[in-house]
Amino acid sequence: MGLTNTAPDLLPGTLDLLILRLLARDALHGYAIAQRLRVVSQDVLQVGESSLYPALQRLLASGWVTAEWGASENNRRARFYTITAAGRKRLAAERAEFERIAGAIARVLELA
Amino acid sequence: MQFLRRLTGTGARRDDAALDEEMESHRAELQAELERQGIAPREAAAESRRRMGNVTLAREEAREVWIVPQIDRIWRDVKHGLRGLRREKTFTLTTVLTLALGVTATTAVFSVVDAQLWRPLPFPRPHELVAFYTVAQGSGSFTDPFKPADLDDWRASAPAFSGIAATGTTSRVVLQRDTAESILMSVVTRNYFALLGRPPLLGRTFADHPGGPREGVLTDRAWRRFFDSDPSIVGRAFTIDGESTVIAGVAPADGVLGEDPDVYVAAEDRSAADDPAPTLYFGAIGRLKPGITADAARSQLQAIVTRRALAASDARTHVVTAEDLRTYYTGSSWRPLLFFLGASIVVLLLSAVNAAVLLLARASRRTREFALRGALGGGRGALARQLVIEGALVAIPAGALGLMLAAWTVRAITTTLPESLTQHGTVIPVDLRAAGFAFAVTMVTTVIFALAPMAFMQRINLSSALGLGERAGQSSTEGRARQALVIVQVALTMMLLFGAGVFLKSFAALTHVPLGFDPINAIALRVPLGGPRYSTAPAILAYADQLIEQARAVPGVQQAAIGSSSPLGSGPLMRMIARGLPRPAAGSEPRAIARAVTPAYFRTLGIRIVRGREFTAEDAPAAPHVAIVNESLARQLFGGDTPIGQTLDLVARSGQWAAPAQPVVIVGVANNIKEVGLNEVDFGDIYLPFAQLPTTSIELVARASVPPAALTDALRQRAARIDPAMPVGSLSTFDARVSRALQGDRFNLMLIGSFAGLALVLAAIGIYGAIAYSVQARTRELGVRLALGAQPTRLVGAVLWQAGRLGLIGAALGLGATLALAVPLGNALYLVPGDHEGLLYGVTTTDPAALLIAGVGIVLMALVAGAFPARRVARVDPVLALRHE
Repeated sequence: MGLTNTAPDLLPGTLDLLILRLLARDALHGYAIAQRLRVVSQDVLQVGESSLYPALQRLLASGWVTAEWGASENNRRARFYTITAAGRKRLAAERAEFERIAGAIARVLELA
Repeated sequence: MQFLRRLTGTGARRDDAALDEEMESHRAELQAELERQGIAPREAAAESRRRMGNVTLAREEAREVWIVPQIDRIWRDVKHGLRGLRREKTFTLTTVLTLALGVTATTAVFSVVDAQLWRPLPFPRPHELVAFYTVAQGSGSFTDPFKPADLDDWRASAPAFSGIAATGTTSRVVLQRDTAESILMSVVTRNYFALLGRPPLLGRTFADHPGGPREGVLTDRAWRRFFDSDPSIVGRAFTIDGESTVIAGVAPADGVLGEDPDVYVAAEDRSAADDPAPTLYFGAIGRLKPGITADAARSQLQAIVTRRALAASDARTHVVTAEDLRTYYTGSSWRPLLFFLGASIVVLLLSAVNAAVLLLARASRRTREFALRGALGGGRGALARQLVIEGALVAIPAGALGLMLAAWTVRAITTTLPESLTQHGTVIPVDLRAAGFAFAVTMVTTVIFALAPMAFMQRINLSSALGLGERAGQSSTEGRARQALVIVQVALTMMLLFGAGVFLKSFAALTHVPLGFDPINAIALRVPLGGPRYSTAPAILAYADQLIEQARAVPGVQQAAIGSSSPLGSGPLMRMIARGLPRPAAGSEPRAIARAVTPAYFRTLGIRIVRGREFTAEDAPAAPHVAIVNESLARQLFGGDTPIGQTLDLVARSGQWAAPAQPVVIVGVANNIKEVGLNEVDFGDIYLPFAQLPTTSIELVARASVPPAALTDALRQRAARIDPAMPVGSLSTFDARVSRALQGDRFNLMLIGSFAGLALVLAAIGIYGAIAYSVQARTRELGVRLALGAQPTRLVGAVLWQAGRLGLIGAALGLGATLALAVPLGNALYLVPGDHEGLLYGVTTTDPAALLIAGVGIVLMALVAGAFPARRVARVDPVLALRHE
């Protein structure tokens, strides 16, 4: 198992949620998204490119993010993703749903 | 835009390139970072490539997001749905079958209604065709006949029309070829075919300019029947109605004249020299110029008609009616048609409710699955898609099966269709239109009902569904929703059952209607006497005498007589003015069906003379002219006064009767007889001695001591012996006439009866399902009660009561709805008895007996449907039940 491909099992749909959350602060390119995710989660969540890019394409296809070519910090041509208004709405909904489930799971764990 | 791109795949290549570049950029960043950490560029490059993992795979997966989604997801849902449905075979089969039954009923009725009401007429630009007629005030509903001069005037002075064609009489005449045949001939104007825009199948239609011998256009039916579809028929001459007629061509029958004739002849071919009676037209069809409305045309015609009436110092007001040909055809028959279409849609709704309940049950069994899918990010959209797809998986086979059954049903019932439904198209096609209809109704109902569980799902609390304790699908919400649906079903069934009861009672009443004559072992043989040989009274009388004599000589015949027409065969009308009474306005004189009969006519048919005498041999041509009226006409003319001895002046309406020159004295009163249908309001009848008013169209009526079917051959041979050139026309027993008069009612009863039967089955399935569901849901409770010593019979009783309650509530609701709807609906749809047009006879639309029977039937059905699950209660094993789940 390659180092960068390790990631704890995420509930399906959660990666989308996390990407949207990151993009809600800044427009980021793919590499930066992976970096930011790792840093913010204190190395717990390391997303592989084989998951990241399909997810980004999915978000693009759904109209939740848009992409634009720009220059990275290292002056490399990179594609920057920006969250759309629909994306923000989606983020809010997914977040509420996630919290509900997380709460439910937590309650089950505590009770059972 | 994105959707389009996803759908078509355009732009996929550009996205590929962008993705490649993007991922390479990502790898470069990675390499740069590794280099910053002090790794040599070449190794950093290798490491970065390694860390990127399988780039190809990532790229494939990323690209799939664009290409795979919709179709693949739908396919996945279809496969998932099919798997689920296969697992629940009983569920699937029941749902498909019940839906198919609903679709069958609706589609079959739709096909009939469509053929009658909505299918465009088989003419080019049919919306331009307008039928019009005038009615003189005070003449009831009879339209005015009109003369060629009127037609010329309309053609010249009504610019709304690009052309006007007229139709004259349709009558039975003799076609002379090797043998004589009785055929139906219609007189039409020359431009008739050109105006309708119907090309001939063979040869041509009428030539534009009259001249030369008379021309005839055969209908395809007559061409097949009399000439074996012989194409060399065109140009040959035959004697038709005593006149040499050249067959110009063969045309499809069009149904415009009601009964399709065998041959059309042009009115303009009649030369005044041949025939002293002037040409009269009875119907007119105009083709509107583009953009002109029927109403504008009506105004123009009204102006012309009013002007002409003034010029002719005709004081009566003539009112013009102009309506499109379809409306003219249909008349008021659309009302009962829509009633039956409505009833069939109720059946479809019942079956759709069952399908919904079954889908709901299936959905609720999957509550946990749905909740889980929701939790894992499957949105409500995905859930709806799954439900709709499952609905469609059920609807498509149901629709196809229903369509097949409908086609089969329509073929099977075509022979029992009443004439009024086959008049304008003997073939009722179950074709693409019907298929489209079946598909649309099935899809719409199923999708709506498949989505019904969504509303229910909304209330599922995720954590409770995921949590423990509550058994999936045991929610009381579902039980209540189900019971409400079943009650609606029962109420609708109650209404259909009541409808069937009313129709049944009406039918029973009709079969006991006094006919006024005795149909048993009575027979009628129609002979159209035509041609120059029978143009004088003595010739006709001689033929009639011989015919009676020949008929009497047939063994088994007890009585025989001649009449110009016979019961349940209607006849031409005559107007009359009673001497000594105030003379009514011209055109509004009392009318009666006139019939010329020989003395034995009344005895032969069992018509009673209630007062006065019957005709005798003394009522000869030279003797004073006499008449017998029926009770209805006597009352109409003289009220309570005795009609015997009163004198009437007769006015014949058309050229069919040589107007009697002499007044007639009433010598007797006969009882009323049924003339057209069994539920008719009594007609007035006037009988005249055949000797005093011989007609060319005659019927031999005979009474036999044996069933007369055995005598038909002998009678035909004997009749042919008198004059081989005269064809013997249709031969019918009066039993068959009575049966045919009931055909429409029989059909209606069959239709509403089968709807009610279907509804009963569907409602029974509904109740069975609801009760079985509740028994299953309460298995544990029942187990506990049994374990605690409850009597099984009491529990069975409780379950039965539950079913009975559903039946009672539904019946009560149905009763309320019936009482609220029956009277207005009955009036609006002409279901009410008492008029010629009423569909029902001898029963009201709130018949208490029918209501009672329907209510009892519903409750019984509920109990029977509930008995099956109730039996299961008795067999519940407490131990197993407590372990349930």
